[in-house]
Amino acid sequence: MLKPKGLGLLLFALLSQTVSADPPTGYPFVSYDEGLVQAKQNGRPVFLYFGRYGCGWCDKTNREAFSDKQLHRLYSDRYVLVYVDAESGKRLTLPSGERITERELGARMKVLATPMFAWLERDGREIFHVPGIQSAQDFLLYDRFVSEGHYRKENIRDFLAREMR
Amino acid sequence: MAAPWEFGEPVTVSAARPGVFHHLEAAGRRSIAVSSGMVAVVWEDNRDGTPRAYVAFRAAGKSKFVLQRLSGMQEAYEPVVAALPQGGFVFGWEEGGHVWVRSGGPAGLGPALKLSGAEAAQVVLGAGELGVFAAWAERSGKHMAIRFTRLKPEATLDAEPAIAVTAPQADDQIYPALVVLKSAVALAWEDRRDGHTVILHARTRDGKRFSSAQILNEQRERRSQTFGRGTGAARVALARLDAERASAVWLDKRDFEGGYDVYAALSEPGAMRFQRNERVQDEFGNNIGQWHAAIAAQSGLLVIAWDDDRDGSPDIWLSWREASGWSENLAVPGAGGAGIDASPSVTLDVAGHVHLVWIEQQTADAPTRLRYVEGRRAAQNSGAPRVH
Repeated sequence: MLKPKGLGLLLFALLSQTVSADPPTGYPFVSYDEGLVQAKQNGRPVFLYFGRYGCGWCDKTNREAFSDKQLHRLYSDRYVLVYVDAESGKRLTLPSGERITERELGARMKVLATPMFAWLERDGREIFHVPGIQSAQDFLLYDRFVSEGHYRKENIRDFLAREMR
Repeated sequence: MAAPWEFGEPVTVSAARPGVFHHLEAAGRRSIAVSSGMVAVVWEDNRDGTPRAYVAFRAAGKSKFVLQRLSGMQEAYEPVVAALPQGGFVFGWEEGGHVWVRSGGPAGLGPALKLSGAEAAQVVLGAGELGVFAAWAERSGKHMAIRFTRLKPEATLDAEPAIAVTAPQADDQIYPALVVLKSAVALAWEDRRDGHTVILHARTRDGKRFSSAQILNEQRERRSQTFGRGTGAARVALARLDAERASAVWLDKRDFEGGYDVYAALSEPGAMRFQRNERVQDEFGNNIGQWHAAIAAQSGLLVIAWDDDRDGSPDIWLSWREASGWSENLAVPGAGGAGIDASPSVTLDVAGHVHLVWIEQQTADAPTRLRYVEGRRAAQNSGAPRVH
């Protein structure tokens, strides 16, 4: 198939979005492919939200954490926000060029429970991920781990242990 | 544990090449079929830079698979195959945002026929005494809806006008599975009308009207903080257990903390109803996620394949139906160990021999290759196990 470009690509992506789930409202979440393009263009890391259609813990996290105004401002400004539906057949392109479905990305990333949140380098490489319900304070701490560059020196477990002391 | 099959050495259907990604994604996981001893495997890869659908045939007694391209010039995905009762095969795939079918065999493929009238994907095929049928997900307004048609595999493959399986719904229907019984065609699919994914099923006797849709995956708890609008379920597949009974498998998140589990159900004769849901994987696989569940049945024999990483990396596992329930899980010889063995598709031939195909990778970043193994029905098990 001829690869659509620019506006055509966006239209194609919108038209071919067969299923959608529940990203938190008011946040500029985009598709995986669009997110990786944006991340390369503007140099921001990616915040990847793995949800599932009808997922209770996703709804709870959306309601209780993503309603936080500081979190909204920080994550909207610092990250490219990507939402992936763990049961969707929508296709995406990995940094390697491989085309797989959103569900298959979940299989590769071993998404056992939703929500799962992953922080990615702008080239798509995973920095770390956390599963399950998270609070706004959790997300603010994770942001420090990424935006202050701690992840280059230590893993998330050591960082959190140090921060909790 | 005495396995009902004695497995041979795996062979390569399509070799690993740098930058080439093989995929065995298909509605109903129908990526392999056997007709008169001829094995056909379908998959998608990007060997020429564009994702395309391919088929490879292996004649009885031969080890080598011979490849042909199924799809045309546009990006193609999720090919499926079904064996035709009179011999040969029918193939389906998604290409350029539509679903297509063609029939043929190693001697050649007939012309491709577009089935869909709007954006469509996830075609599945089935054949039996009642004929040859196709189902797929097609855009209907804002949502995807399951469409169904009878194929006419004459000199040139043709199709009757497609029908909707249900009245229009307020959310998507995706990933249909289909099985042709002696007196009915049974369908199952993922349906989001309830605000979460449920597996629904329906059947038709005349190919023109379907029974009202029924829920296949039992709903234990609903609309709680933990489960939200409901638990997850995905990627149902169907097989013909015997002349009048279907068997279903799907991935189910009712036990939400350990990822998806493999669940199955057997139908009553005629497939109007399914019996209770049964968890398939054994206790050693309970606390990890299962993926890519496929099913095959033949004259009362029933086997399910999937991958999970209980031994540290994804391996192919089998379970078969015994008189007491589902067997202990068998790691398929040659489809496990170090590296990644995943995404299986499975079928049983008329003699009860199992044919399995899967994707193998040395590491997550390594090139993929497509592998096949045959399990010959073990002599001591020639009379069992069967589902009664």
